[in-house]
Amino acid sequence: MFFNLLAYEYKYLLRRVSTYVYALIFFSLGFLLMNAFAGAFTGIRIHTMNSGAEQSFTNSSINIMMISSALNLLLILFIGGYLSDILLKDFSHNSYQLVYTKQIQKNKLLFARLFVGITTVIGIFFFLQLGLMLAQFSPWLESKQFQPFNALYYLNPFFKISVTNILIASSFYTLIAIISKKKLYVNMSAVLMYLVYTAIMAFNSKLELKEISALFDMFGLSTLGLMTENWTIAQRNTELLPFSSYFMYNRLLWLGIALLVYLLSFKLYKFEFPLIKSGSKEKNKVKEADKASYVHYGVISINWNFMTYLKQLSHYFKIEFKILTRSVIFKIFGVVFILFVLSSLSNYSVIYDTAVHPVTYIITENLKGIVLAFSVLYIAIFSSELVWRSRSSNCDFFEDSSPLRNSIKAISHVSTLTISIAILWIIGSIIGVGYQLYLGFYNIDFSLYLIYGGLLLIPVVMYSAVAILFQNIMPNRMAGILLFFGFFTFVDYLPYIGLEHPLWQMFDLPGVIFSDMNGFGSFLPKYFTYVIYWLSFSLMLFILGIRLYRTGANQGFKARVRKLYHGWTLAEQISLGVMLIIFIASGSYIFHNTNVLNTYKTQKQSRELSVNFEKEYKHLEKLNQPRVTDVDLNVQIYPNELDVQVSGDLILQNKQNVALDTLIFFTNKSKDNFKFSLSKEYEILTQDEDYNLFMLKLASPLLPGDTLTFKFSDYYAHQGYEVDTNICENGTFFNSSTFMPEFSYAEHYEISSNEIRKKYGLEPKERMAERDDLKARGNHYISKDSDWVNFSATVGTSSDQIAVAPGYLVDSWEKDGRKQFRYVMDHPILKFFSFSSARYEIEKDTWVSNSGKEVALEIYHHPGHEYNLASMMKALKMGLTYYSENFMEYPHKQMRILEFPRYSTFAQSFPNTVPYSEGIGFIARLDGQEKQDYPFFVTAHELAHQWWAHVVIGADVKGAVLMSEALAQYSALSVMEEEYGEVKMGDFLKHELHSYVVGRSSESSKEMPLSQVENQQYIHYNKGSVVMYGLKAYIGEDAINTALKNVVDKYGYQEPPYINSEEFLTELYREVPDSLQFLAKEMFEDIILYSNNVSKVEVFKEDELFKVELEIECYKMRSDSIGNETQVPLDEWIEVLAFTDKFVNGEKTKVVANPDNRWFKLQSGKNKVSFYVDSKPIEAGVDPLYRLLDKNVFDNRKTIKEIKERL
Amino acid sequence: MKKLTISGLSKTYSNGTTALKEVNLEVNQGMFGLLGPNGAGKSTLMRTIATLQSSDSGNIKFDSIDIQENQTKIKKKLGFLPQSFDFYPNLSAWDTLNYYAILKGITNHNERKNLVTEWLVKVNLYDQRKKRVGGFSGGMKQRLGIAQALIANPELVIVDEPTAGLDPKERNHFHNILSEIGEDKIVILSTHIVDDVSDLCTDMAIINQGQVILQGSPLAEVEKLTGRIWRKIIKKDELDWYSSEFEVISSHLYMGDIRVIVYSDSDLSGFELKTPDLEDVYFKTIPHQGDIVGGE
Repeated sequence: MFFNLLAYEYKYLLRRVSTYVYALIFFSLGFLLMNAFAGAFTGIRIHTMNSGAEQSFTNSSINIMMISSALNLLLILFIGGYLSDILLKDFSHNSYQLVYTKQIQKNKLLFARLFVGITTVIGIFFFLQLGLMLAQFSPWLESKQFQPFNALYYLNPFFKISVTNILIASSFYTLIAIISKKKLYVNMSAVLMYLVYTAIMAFNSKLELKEISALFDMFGLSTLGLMTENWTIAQRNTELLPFSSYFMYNRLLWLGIALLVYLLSFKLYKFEFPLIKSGSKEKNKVKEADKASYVHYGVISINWNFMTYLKQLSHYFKIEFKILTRSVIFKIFGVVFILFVLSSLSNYSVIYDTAVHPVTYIITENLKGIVLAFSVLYIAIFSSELVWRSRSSNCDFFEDSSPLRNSIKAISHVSTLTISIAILWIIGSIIGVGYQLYLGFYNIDFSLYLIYGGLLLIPVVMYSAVAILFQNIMPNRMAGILLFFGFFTFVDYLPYIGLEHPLWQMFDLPGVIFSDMNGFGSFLPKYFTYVIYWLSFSLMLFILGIRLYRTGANQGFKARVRKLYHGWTLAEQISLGVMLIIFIASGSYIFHNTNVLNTYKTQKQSRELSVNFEKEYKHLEKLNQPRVTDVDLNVQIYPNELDVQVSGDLILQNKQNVALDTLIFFTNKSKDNFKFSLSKEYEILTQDEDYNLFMLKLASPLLPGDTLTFKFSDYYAHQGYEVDTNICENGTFFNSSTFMPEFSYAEHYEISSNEIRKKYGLEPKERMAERDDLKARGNHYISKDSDWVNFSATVGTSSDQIAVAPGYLVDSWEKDGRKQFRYVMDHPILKFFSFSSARYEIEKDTWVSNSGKEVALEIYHHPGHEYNLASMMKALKMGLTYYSENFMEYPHKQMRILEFPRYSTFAQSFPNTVPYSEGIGFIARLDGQEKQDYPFFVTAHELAHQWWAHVVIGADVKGAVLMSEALAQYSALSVMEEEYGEVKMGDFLKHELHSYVVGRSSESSKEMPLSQVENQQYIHYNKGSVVMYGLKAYIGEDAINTALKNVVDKYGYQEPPYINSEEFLTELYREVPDSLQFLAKEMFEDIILYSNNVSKVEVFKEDELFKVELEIECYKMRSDSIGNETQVPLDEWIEVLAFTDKFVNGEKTKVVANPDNRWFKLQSGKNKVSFYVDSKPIEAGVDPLYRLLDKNVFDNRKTIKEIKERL
Repeated sequence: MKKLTISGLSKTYSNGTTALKEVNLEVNQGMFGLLGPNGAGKSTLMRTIATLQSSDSGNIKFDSIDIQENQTKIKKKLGFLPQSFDFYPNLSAWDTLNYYAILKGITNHNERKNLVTEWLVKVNLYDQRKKRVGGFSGGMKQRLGIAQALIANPELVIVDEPTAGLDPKERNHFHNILSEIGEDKIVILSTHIVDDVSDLCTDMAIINQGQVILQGSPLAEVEKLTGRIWRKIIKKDELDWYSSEFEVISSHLYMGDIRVIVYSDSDLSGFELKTPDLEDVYFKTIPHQGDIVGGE
């Protein structure tokens, strides 16, 4: 009997076309995705976040796992509809009265249906794996990118992730199906679950939330993320996800919950007729006429004119809106939305777990992001609600036989969707304003709420128009919803199939960034051009939607097609024509701007240009060139026109011992405006427009030691609607590399990816030269045509702005309504300069060195951005003191910080000048204990560059940035520790270490030891911080600073060959005691990782003392460049600390409880450590301040919950 | 004088069912009954006239306007009550009727208010006007449906099985409304209930398997059968014999026995002459519809 039931239900599902359609969809998804990643469409394989490295295989275990688990989200959507179909078939086919009167045990029936439904879904989803598997064997793909086939890579994530997720998601759908007995609710809850889930996923930017979200993530995707974030490339290729740790707890938790939900479902499952709600409560107040008062008219006057249609529209809209807003699903949606906005508010623009002040643009920008993400789902669901409304209420014939135009319905649908989203925006805005007020922020810019609301509604109208079309061409509403999602997912992948031009990027509107300094900048003209383009396109689709609007009885395909060319009204024809004209016109305008006024190249074209460049000009690399020694520039900034005019006098000297007769240089843009002249006769040998290359033959050779003068000028006019984030109406900042001619082979044109190089027949290439390459050491890494140069510049700007360049202001004047500033630097500097101009306010202070030198401190900032000036000023003063005392006295008489708009978020150090983004500190909110004072840190870091880069600069070889970035990190950390204490530094280092372990897993080529770092940020910043700061704990601050002082003495302002890391380490190792030489060598010249974790902490009170007992596990391993690890024996001193709360200046502060007894000798494997402290410990752990490179930052500490008494 | 002309109308569904085959009809002002068994193609024909469905061939003209080419024009003159329907459950009766009045173009507020009131009174729903339609009984919904079909004073009224599900009193009431409005319009009433037609219609057609088998006035058609319809009460097991010997057009159970109705041009002994009615016309036209299924 039971098996008959199973067979019957299987038959039911297997007879449905949709079963096969879904299977086919999943199969093709898998097949196409794998093909796309393998480069079937573009010829170049795509590196996802998780397969960055050239050594990673396209069919790496992690790639397969990530693709199939990411598609679990699609699965969430699809299971709901599919399961509810089998669970509720009795209701939707109205046969429940038949079934429920039969002699079937209800639990048996439900079980059979669930079993059949879930197994079928599992079966369908397995086709995704099949597609992924099969793609590997596509003959057109390059087979070298694949590793040998291993079924486990496909099965492991399938069973561990997909199958468990199917079981989990199904449990909820079953419950909802059983309670509501309506497919609609199951579908809605599916979409809602998808929505909430993706939204939550987007919000775990905080490090402290990572573990929690890994445990409670319903579908385990963030768990996967955390479990694999520190996997190395080697692991990513072959490692299978183990059923342990976070993943195990997460799955057990959710499978347990799912089981409970299933049990509840069985309990609630009854053979019962659906209840029809009786309309007892009546809210409608009808104030209409009395029964007797009507008059019968024989003739009714109906005038069919425009006003009639308008009135029909307005009434139709009112009713539609009423029906929509009264529906349960709308209310649920609203509540979820509100909760979501509330919970996201404090997560805006978080850096180092620290939020920013609730300035209006931050609120509106993020709110817009949330509402837009909501809108996509909202439109998907509610467009189907609206289009299918009359059908699902079975009153479509009434409407369809009425003289109501389809256009009225369609326009009303779009209006309803748009206006209800506008209401969501208003609700969000009210919450946003409330939040601002709650935090005591009263400078609210209400106009931004309006403007961003407008920016939100534009895409909403487009999406709605498209959704209306989709709902009308698909056979049922779920298919319409899926098409909508499918479409908007697909358009993101257009570039991957070779459609790169902006004109193809459907409904993709250019970004608009608001900045306090520069308002909406130059974004809007381009933005609105694209708005016109895509809006007209979507309106054309909308008109098709009107034509194809479903009316009357179900009609065949032929009848639908007939509607496309038959029965067009004049209005429809005219609108379509007008839209088409607008579409073509705006498209042409975009094309003109993109391809004519500016240069447009496809990725392939750029690649080929690079390849040809290398093939044609590689020999120039060996050509000896004179070097720049003097630079005098005139930079004229026109903030209103967004133009820049530059000219310069350069002196070049032949520093070689041979005569030079050829001069090459590259200009930035070889537009017609570039002009140059030489103090020597010359003829042009080559002028290559493709690469902006000039090659000159000097009439008489430049003898060793001789100089020549090179003059140039250029004019950069703002082109069309071009968005320029460097040249701004207020807040211009650009550096000299954007316009200075370079007198050396332009290596940056070369292709760096060895995979692509191979395709084009180029030899593999090292990212940087070896450390002992003397030729390469002839240059430092900032510029290749100069050493130290004398610098002066005149900078002009509009009369209301201040323009700044490196050097000291020696003169300023006003001429022709423009202000001019003359800057001169009093000693040679690197050939790399910044130019800034804005309406600044200046915060001033002074600092006096030990020798009595006065240094003027100035922060040029936007009025209103005073929040953290004190902190930045403090960092400047403390830094100047610390660096001057420990390294060398500050070489300049002035230090300036210049704010620039938040289009980029970095700060960059130039001599006595640091441009500093609006977005990384000026509005950070630094109240509260757990916050990290990153404005302080960034300031200290950039200040440290005044020594580490601008005094000591590394040669252009491997390990160059060790002497700048890693040392700047170390210097800043040392200053920060003075201000914040070592415990707080532990929190900071946790971020650094975490960034390192995550960073190394997305390495694109190979991980280098710190001493040979090849411009890899996760190494020179993050590993650099941990290593330098950790070493300081082992050998002491004085030892390190002595070494650094020696480095400055010996290599400061040196001539080539420049310092390499070997020379640096020689100085450093000299200060390291013999017992720790191994540690220092491992840190700098090897890739050594630790896995230190504390498994148990117990505290016993013994008299007045507390005994802390820890069980610790330690391992140490050596990794090769792609992360193959081998364990090495460990027998080292490692810090084990307990923490306690202490009142410092009346504030509760966490301090180390065992400051003088912190080092313990630990061995590989399990260790037991105990020590006494005299104040009550609250937390303890092994290497809790991250002195060593620990693979997992989350398991080093444990909170102490109870103190035991020992008798 | 309004006139609806249907000529050569055919429709075959994608699953192969032929719903309409070369249908030709001429409908004049007044009540027109469309009679036929379930599945005869009545609803297809009604929907096609109501512009909700297209035909494969043939055309329908209303006052010389081709309705398939001028759907909007026809919809402005149309009142349609489909066979099965429902309403938005969350709207009140007033809101519902008001809504359809708008859809039909009655945008003048006062006029609409007056009309909605008038029709709610006419269909006896005025007292329930504030109630959610979701809680209405089948009959109430049917009445509301009638109101929405007629509210805009249509020239062409199409009602598909309107009395199904109505109790006798409601049915009577409905007939009254229809006959009240039916004078100056074309009203097409599709039904399988013969009495609806005989009570109301001045003209009629019988349709079976997609074809019009008969068109004429009910009175004249009944007249034609005078003196040719006979009846007799027989035993159950005699039915087969009678069916083979006589032209039995229908048979009914009658107090445990069977009463057969037989058509014969000549006198039949042992039979009783019956005054013919429309039902006899119907069963004469569509053979074997009135049979008691022989025992199984």
